Amino acid sequence: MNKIFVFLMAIANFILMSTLFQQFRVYGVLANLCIVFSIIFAILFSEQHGYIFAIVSGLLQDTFLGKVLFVNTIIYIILIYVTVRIEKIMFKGNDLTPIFLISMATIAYHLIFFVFMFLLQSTIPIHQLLMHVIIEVILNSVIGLFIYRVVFKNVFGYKLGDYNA
Amino acid sequence: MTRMNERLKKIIIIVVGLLMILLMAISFGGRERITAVESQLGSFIAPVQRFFSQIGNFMDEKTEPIINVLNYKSLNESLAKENEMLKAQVVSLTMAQKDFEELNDLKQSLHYVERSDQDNYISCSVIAKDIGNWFNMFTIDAGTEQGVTKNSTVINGNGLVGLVYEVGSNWSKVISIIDHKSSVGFEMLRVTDDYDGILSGTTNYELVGELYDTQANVHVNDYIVTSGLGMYPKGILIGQIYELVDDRDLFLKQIKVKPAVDFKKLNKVMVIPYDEYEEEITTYLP
Repeated sequence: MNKIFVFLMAIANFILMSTLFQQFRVYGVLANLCIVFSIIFAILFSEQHGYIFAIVSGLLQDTFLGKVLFVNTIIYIILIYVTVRIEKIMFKGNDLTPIFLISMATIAYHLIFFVFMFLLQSTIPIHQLLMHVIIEVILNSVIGLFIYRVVFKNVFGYKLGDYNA
Repeated sequence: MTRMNERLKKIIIIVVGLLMILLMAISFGGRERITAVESQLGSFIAPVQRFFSQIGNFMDEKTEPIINVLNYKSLNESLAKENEMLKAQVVSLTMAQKDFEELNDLKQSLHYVERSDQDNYISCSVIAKDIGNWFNMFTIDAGTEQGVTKNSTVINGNGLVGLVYEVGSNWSKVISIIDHKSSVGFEMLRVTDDYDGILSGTTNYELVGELYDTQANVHVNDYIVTSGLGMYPKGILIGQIYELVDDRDLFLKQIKVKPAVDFKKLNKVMVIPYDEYEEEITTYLP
């Protein structure tokens, strides 16, 4: 896939998430499509595609809606770096791969965010946040699986889990 | 070759990471001025965001009556009850108003210095809301060009919304009062006894406050307003107390407050510019 297209998609994703998708909050929680898309791109296209999406959406998020500069950007970069190294030893043609990677990434995102906010003395008590994290993990994995299946079919030419292909 | 690449990648990520952490620490707490790049970027993206949030609001407006159709009966009843109460209040307030006018006449005859009223509101709309689940920040479509300054107070028709955190050329970041780290000085909306305290946000769209006076006589359903201590001007409605917690260990009286503003449906807001040098005491009440 063309990298300029990934760049534009990241901007479109940010704009839609901050405006239109706000109407689709589940119990006050919004799925983080930045994590979902950047990880799927990193798995199915290349590491660079993942980084482009992660950095662009991270920078936009930090500039316009962040309390602190670069905090989301750096977390997304770390997530992609680790994901790509784990994904090398995993089998791509399985439903569990995206679910595992995306849910782990979402949990890791919140853990790292907590550490940063702890250092900046701006943390939220973890018990207040637990429900948010659980709902977000479920949302991200479900949406992630759906997108993964669509992208997988486009890249490899056969459906995910279709072993006769 | 690949090994070298791998090592190079690792070094780049560590260096960039450290640099970002440094900048993070510097930018924490909101900067006085943001860079021109950010400001310009905002000018490009803001119109698009405004367009899409208008679509979102339109959709929300159209679907809401369908979703809430079952709640309307109870809502109607509670409104009718409130109406009766308000009618009773109007009578007593009219009496008070008469007294007040008499006092005003007296004031004029004594050449008392009048405090200036705040009238330079900037009205604008919310164009983007936070996409993470940690904070409650949003972007509005007014910036330095419209006269917004850092630490300006943001209100809407119902009451206090938040504080301006960073300002761009025609957009600004706002941090709402329900955000965990924000704190608001409050007092009771009452004529006789003045109890002060500090409110802070939680993640669940509610506010928790502490009263300075442990013997304070407060009740559920009392209204609270800003006290004028801190950044916010005096006399802006914050919300209504819905629970009292008596913490005997800390010798503190805690109150839980339901904000007057519905933070889930926030479209139009007004900004009261913050002036560091002219600490005006205002008498605004929405």
